[in-house]
Amino acid sequence: MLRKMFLQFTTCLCLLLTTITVARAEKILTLMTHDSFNMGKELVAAFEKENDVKLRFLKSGDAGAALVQAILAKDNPLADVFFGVDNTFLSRAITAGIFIPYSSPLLASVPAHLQLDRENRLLPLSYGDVCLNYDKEWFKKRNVTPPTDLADLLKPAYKGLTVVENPATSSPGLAFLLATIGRFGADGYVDFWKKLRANDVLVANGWKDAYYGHFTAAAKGGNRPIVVSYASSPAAAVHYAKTPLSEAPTAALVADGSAFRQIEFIGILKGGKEPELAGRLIDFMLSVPVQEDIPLQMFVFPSNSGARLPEVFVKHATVAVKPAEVAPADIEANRDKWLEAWTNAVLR
Amino acid sequence: MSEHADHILLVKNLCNCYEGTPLLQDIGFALQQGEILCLLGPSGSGKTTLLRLIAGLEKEDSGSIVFRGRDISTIPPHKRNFGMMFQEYALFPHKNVRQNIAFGLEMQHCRPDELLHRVDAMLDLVGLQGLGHRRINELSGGERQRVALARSLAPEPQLLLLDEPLGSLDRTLRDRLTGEIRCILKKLGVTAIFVTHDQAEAFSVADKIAVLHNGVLQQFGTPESLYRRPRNATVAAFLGFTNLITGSLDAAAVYHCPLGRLALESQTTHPGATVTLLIRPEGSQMITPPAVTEPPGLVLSGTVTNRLFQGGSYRVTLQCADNFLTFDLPIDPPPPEVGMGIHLAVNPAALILID
Amino acid sequence: MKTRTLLFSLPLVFLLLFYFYPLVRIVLQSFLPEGVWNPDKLENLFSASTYWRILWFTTWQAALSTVLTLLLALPGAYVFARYQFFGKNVFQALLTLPFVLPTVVTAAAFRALLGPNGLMNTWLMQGFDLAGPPIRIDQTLVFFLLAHVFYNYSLVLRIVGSYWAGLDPNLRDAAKMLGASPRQVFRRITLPLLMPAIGSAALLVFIFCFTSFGVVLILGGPGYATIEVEIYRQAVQLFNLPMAAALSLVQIAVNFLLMWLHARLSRKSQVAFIGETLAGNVERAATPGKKVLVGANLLGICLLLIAPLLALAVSSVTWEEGFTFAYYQALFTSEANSVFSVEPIRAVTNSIGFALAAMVAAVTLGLAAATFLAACRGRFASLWDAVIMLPLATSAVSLGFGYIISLNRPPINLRDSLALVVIAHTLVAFPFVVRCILPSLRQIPKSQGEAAALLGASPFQVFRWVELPIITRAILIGAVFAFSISMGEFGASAFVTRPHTFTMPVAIFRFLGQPGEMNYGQAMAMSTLLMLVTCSAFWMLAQLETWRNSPGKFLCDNKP
Repeated sequence: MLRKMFLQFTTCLCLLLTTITVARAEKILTLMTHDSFNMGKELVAAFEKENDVKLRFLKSGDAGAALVQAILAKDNPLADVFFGVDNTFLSRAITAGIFIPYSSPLLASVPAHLQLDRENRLLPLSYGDVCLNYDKEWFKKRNVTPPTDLADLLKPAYKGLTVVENPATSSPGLAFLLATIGRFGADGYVDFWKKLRANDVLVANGWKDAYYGHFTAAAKGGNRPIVVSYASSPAAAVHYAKTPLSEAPTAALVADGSAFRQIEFIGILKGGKEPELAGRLIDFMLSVPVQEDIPLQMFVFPSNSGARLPEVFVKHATVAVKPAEVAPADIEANRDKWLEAWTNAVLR
Repeated sequence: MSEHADHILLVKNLCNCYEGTPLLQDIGFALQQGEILCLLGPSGSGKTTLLRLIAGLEKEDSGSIVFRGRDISTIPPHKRNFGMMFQEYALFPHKNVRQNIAFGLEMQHCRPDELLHRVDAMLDLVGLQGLGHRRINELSGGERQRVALARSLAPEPQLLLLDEPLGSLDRTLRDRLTGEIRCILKKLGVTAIFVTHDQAEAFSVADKIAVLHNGVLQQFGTPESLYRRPRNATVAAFLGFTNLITGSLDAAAVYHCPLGRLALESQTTHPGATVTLLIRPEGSQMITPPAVTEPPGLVLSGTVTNRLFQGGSYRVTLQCADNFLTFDLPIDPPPPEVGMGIHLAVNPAALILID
Repeated sequence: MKTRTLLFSLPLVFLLLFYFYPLVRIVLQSFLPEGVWNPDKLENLFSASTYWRILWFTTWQAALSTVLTLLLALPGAYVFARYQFFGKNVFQALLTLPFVLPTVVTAAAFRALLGPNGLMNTWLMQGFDLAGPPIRIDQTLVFFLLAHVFYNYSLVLRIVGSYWAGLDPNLRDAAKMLGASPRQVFRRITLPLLMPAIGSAALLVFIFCFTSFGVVLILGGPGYATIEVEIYRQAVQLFNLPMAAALSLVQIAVNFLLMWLHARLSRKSQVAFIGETLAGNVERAATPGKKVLVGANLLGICLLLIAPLLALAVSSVTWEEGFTFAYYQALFTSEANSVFSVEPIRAVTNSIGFALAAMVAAVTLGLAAATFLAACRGRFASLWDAVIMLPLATSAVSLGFGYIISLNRPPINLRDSLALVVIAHTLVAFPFVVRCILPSLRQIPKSQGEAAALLGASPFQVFRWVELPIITRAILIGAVFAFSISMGEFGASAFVTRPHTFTMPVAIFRFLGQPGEMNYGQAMAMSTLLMLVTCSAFWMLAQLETWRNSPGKFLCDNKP
């Protein structure tokens, strides 16, 4: 029995190892990314056929964890291309020096305000606005006007209605904190949060927890009709509804200065084995077919302005006209300080 | 009550079942103050169950147990003030010798100085002076047995129950301890019930013996009365008797069996019935040559098939017709060698008819 | 002994390669980024009160969770140890479920039951015509303490219950005969004898609560942070690797001490980690008092442990209009046009595949380690034991990052392979296997091996024909535990880089990652399937045991 088990164990291990080495035999291009990445099957097949290469996807935890792993592996990179650095982590990624510049011709069709790295080490692939979402039904039933601005949250009428994510543990949480910093300034945001706390804001540790744990429109046991989520969330709520909906059950609040734009970047890792192919992959990712596929795969907006949005996005998703702005370098320089101040103001 | 005035324990019509299987049926006996009773029987006979019923660790299905004139079936075991010594002793592994012995006294809220004194006295009694602080796993089998005895005696129980207390010890130690236990119990005047499957042990410790088989009380009496007159074949076999012969009794009270015809004095059996004859092994004599005139008792003639010198006697097995019979014969004159013929005059007192 | 030492090299090499080496590398890299000691980022560790506060919070919440779990689980252990009742096997299988459920699922289950608009509050509000939800425990200490009890109840039940069932009933009887009342018997005899088992269980519960990550993060809300949460925050959010490494070391040090204590305790008193079946001197509850006792405990178990699981299952088959199978149907249809587009149900087969591989590896390593430890005497035995338990108490973040920088060169370039998932699962599962097998091995009397040797058996033959048959049951239990742990494992593998493979926890995590009812419903359906797979593994184990135990039952004089 012991011998048999040992045999099974070794065969298992050998099998796993051989599949890896066998796979190594053909040309492989590796894309390292975070757990929420998704992409159309046919598009991948098309790229593979056109370039005679096998595309391999490596997933490495959440966006922060994936980036840390990419930085740790900088002497001997795990992949050729990395996707998933957002503007809150942009400075860290650039400083770590793990990306090489690549000026894709397709950048021409990407709006300039999305291109945050002048040297094009990181190229914007998609973006999404982090903002407040509210449960339409809830407000209608009670005859309460939904909030129309960030500052509305401080009104007594909205006492105890909001759930936000902890910026220390959640990326939309951090984005929303940055929205308040962009809106009220590095001096005024603490005051806003102190008042928000007085107005009984609930802090959840992550988006899942806030949305599925507390938001009335999504959670079985929720009692908060206002949540920090994405401007595309109403579209997702329609897309994933069990019965077709003509109207989204939730709405996003994207008034000027009330949202923070999270831009996700893609870049070629320094030291990769296939730099030329990597460039072609980036071109491909920025091309219209992929860009048109992105919204329904990850529920974010494509960076290529030539890409048409799917119907559900056109109808139900919104884009902030004037999102609150904080420069990536400021974010990297002040993140610890801001988080500490936020924690002191809201949690202690 | 007056007729049982001298009985300390009276067991009446006791029955017990386990998941529908009867373990004890209609058990009844009485015990007097200071007596030692042995429950004797093979394993599975119900003797431990009977002991646990008396202890209150099991509940009887019917019948009653009366102690000092009071039905005790509703009294929980810890309020009965009975002592018990368990098969594997059940010494508390987390307490040392002294703590084990003191446990029962602590339960009685004994005064500390009194407790100290009693524990010392108990250690003395069982000869374990100086071992009081030993841990249980540092003791030998014999020492553990003494601790267990001391522990059960320390609270001065009204009745001491011993469940095969010597079962796990070697023969020599057992023989010695059996004597010691009896000595100690008699010295303290404790009434005790002792469970064993070893008849030699029972004979060396008991005032009364109760033989159990298949949950039925086969016979109750003094060791001597049991030995002299076992009531049935089961008891006889259990007491170690092997010379059992099946025959029948005619109307004239003459017994017919393969060994011949035998006139037996007024023994109580119904004529015509199948009856077993027990021949106890002792008291028979060799006769040479066979007398012409028939002696008053039974004479057996056969061939010696086994001959064993046992110190004070010879154990001789002879084949007589189709039966093999065993006798203890005096060493003088020496019995014939194996294969030789032999003639025996059987002691009339050793012939017993049983059911 | 030589062979056994040789055997031990197998788990030891595994640990060195996949545990110590990556950990040492990441700690060194963190402290000496360019080969120089740079304490700048560490100065806060001892100066800032934040870290003392986190350490203090981590400790006392673990202590409180442990006490609560013991208080609630000990009566349960008594009932399971002493009484036979209808559905005992099913109850036991159900009880083990929480132990292997991913945190996200547990949180969802608790919310569905006790959240502000959960089942309980809805019923209470309707039943008593209340304006607001009467149960408000969300984001409070109570909520995650409850979840800790939920996770660890079965652990205490199994460890203490099996030990309790194994206590010589004669000891109780002896105390009774010496005049001890039932209460005194418990206080003076049973409780002191149970102490090693209780201590051992308490230590393990404490360790698990001390390293708690998901439960505190999700249910406790942001006001509460354990060391493990802080390590994640420092490493991932603030990129302060030196601080994360320092905190990891603190956590490892504390846990190593506890593991060592636990190893000593279980060695001395042969406490079984995952006990043999809770059989032995059981009885049916006959008197009304005993019936109430058994009933009350089962009711408590239902309320605390089974109700959240049930709430989960219920929410996987209901929507506003009532009953539905839509979520399950969706699990069988492939997600449209995605490169990762397999039917979600493939996640089940993937998970089972990984779990089987991890199980085989964990049992092999566990058996080798246990064989060595059982024979190992002397001062180092407990230390070795604690070393083997260490992976259970190590920050997944640090280890995952360690893999990146250590397993990156041939011959072991595994840092981005699927084998790493199996390795991570094995690392977490095999200490459990050791804990299952070790006590059974230790209980085999030395004389049995000696007798076999005198009859001409070689050491291997002694193992094969004497020891192995005796410990088969323990191995089976260990295997089922390893399988289940791997099925539900998410924490460790989340921080490991791996080619995309859909497993059940990953699927649940993904479903909950996007808005929409279908996503939530499918997450609930997938969680329910995860419970079912795990539950059936334990049920099969229980059936196997009943089947193995059925012959040879007979009545004897010394009836129980």
